Amino acid sequence: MIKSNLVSMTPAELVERFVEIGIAQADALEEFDTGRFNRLFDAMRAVSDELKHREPDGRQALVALLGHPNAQVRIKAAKHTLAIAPDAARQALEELSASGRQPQALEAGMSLWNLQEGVFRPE
Amino acid sequence: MKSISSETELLLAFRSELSAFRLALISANLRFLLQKANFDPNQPRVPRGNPDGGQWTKIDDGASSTAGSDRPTLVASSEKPPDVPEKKPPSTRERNKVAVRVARYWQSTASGRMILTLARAGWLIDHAGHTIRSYLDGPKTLLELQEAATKPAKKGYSDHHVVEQASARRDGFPETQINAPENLVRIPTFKHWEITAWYMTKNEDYDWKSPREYLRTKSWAERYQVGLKALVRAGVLKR
Repeated sequence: MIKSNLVSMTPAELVERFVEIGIAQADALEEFDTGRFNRLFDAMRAVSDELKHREPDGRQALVALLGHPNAQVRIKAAKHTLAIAPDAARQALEELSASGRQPQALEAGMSLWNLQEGVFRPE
Repeated sequence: MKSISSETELLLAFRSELSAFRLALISANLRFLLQKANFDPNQPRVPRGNPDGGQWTKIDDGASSTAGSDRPTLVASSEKPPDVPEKKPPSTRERNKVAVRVARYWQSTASGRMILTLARAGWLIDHAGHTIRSYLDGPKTLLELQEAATKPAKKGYSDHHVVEQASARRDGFPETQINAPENLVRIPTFKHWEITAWYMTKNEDYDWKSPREYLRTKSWAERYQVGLKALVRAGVLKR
């Protein structure tokens, strides 16, 4: 989706788009289709950036997704809200890591380590 | 002549017997499937071409060498079982997708619910019996994983480079280091795929780059640390 379309979307529509992309990412990961995942990753980043540049920071609306039934939506919501809701986001990552359910447990566990090591610096 | 009420009683008694018979049948079938859930893909089958081709010829009653002692038990699970088609999907990608779903579901539920998928799709055992089974392995020590990689190839397992081999080669690390025993571990094939996919996919952690891209400028030691950590987080290596 081109950037100008995102600019005209409401926060609720952007959150809806974030969820759609997260679900599509889960499907791509299930098929080990890394090319498709990477395109979806860029699409999600664009949505998150659009929310971030709203006043006030629109990513606050993603916090509600920390309880989403889809684990891929949850992990991405956590990583995109670490800068604005660190406690809730970190807790979501810890739960995903402890669940052992792949591939989200691997990514969540690595992110927690990267946060601890200062490799991952959410902005 | 019997009264209507006695006919009704007979009918009810017949229904009751029928229900008991059905219950016994279901129970027998359940026992059979529970045994099957601890399947051994090497177990003898009726050869292809026979009317019962592909079916197990004998159920090993707990003495299977590969079945282990963790016989499944019926435990309620809140998670929805994966949708497994009764007919074998035509493409390898589709078959692998189903197999990975089943492996992940079985690992996360660790329950007798696995019988439901087995009952539906025998093709799954033929296609991915070894890889699904290996996915259920618990974490092992680094030494165990390294020693396993020195042995002949084993179905359901892949030899995995702790430091990714292709990018290490591109960055000029010597073959002796890339293929050194300490850099090689044998892990379940689906775990190998999951870790490789993690390396290849973009990630917020690494300034929006994939771990593979991020590590291109890093030392061997740093790559090795990330490789070990990924093995731990994938549930392959003991902490």
